[in-house]
Order: sequence, then structure tokens, then C-alpha cells
Amino acid sequence: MVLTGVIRLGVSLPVAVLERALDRALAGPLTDAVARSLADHRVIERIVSAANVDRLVDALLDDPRTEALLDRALASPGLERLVVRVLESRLVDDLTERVLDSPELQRVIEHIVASPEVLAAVTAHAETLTEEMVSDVRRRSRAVDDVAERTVRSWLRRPPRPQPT
Amino acid sequence: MTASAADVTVSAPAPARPAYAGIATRAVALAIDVGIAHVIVLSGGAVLALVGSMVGDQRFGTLEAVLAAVAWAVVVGTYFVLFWTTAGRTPGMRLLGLRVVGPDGGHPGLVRSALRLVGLALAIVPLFAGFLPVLVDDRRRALQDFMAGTVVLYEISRPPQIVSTT
Repeated sequence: MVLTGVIRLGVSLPVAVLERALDRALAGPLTDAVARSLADHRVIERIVSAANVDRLVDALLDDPRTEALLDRALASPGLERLVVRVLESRLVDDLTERVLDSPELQRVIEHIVASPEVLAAVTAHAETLTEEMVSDVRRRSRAVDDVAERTVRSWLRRPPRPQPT
Repeated sequence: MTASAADVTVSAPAPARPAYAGIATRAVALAIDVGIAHVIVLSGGAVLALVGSMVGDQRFGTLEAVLAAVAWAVVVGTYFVLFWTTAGRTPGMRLLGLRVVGPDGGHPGLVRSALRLVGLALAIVPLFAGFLPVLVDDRRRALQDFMAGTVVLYEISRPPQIVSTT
């Protein structure tokens, strides 16, 4: 009953009167009292506690509407135009330059280059390359062996040499 | 029709006719070995020349030329004989997948390797004519092989033969 009466009263009051009332309430000690109460009862911390946030994130991720929203956003030409504009802006160039000039990146590169995994991979690649080259030289030289021998034997009208088994 | 796994056994490789090495592969291996041997000779000569220049004014006369020639022959000869005797192949032969064997199939001994070195020199002197028998001999032997009783073989890793028992 009381709520209905308040609503009726609110509808009947002019908007300007409501604005003045709200402004007075916020300018007064009420705002400070609400803020103190929120801090005393740790309302914000309780709301954003890990469990609540996890539940909220899980609910968002499991919601099919989230997926549909993401699909719509990705498929929209507006997003594509936005991404293209960002990529073409000077901001990306400046950021790239800063990252490339940063000592942190140099440290990362030095760390990667000196890592045993990278060294092992490079060594293995070099060994494989060398083995392939040697194998190729062997194969070619053995082919020349046979060609030279067949040619000379044909000149001398000698029968072919018995092949290895 | 294929044999089942129970009907198949893996046996040791059967005796096979050796794969004798041909003239081109042997020539490439010899060129690599000569290059390596001369790098060794030139490095030693450079060290001696450096020491000589620090000691004083050294003139390169007839005696020095003879000594240098003898040193060259000793180093190059030792290179070949040492590798043939101890490993059955020189670094160049290893790179090309070759090995030299005596009549018993093993590494040639010191005397046989020395004899082979003399044969190699004699084969090279007449513009490598001593290698021409490789093209017509059934065992692809060159002059040094005839003299030392050796043959040069390709190294072939032969997989075990699959023999059906049925």
C-alpha cells in the first residue's frame, strides 16, 4: 500500500521537484553515511569475492547468448572496420617501435636464443642439412662411377661388371 | 598372398658380393684428403716460417727446400698410412662412405699401407693413369690396390633379410 502510494505521489510530482530533492539528498550527509556503511560492511569486497566472480564468469561463458553475441560481434562489418582503423593508425606503429626498442624485448630475445631447446633445434637442423649434403654428394658420385665405368667398358667392348648383391 | 607374422623370421644377412667403389667417388675422397693434408703441411710451414722470422734473417736455400720437400712427403705419407692402418679409411673416404680393406677383410696393416702409399704415388705421377684400371677391373682396383692387395668398398648398411619359412 505504501509503495503504491509513493509511486502515485512520484508520478504526480513534477520532474523538477524530484531532481531538486535528489540533489539535496546527495549533497547532504546521506552520501557519506552510505559510503561509510558500504566500507564498514565490506560490501564491495563481498560482491567481488573470488567465488562470486568465478560464478559470474562461469555463468557468462556457459550462456549461449554470450556465444551468439560474440559471433555477431565478430561477423559485424563494424568491428572489422574498427580493427582495420586501429591497425592503420599511428598508435600501432608507435607501439611496435616502442616494443622493438625496449630492453625487455632484447632480454627476451637473448633468453630465447640462449635456451637449450633452441640451440638443440638449430644444431639438429644443421646436422640434418650437412647429412643431406653429404648423402647427395655420395649419391651423385656413385652415379658418375657407374656411368664412367659403363662408358669405358662399352668402348672396350667388355661385358658389364657383375653388380653387387 | 602374404606370409603371416608367425611364418616369417629375421635372419642374418647372407654373404653378398662386395660393392667396390668407383673412380669418381675415390677421386673426390682423394681430393678431400689431399686438401686436408696440405692444410696441415701449410699450417706447420707457416708456424716454422714465423719462428724463423723472429729468430733472424732466414734465407730459403737448397737445403731448406729439400728439408721442406721431405717434411711435406713425411706429413702427407703419414696422414694416409696412419688413417688406412688405424681406421681403414681417411677422413675423405669417411665423408664419401668408403673404406679400404686387405685380403682378410680387415684394415690393411702398416706394411701393406706403406706399400699402398708407394702405389698411390706411382698412380698419380703419370697424370693419374694408375687409376684407370678401376674402370675396367671387375673389383675396381687401381694400381695401389694391385700392389698392396687391397680393395676399396662402399660402406652399405645392409638391413636384415626377411625370409619366409613356409
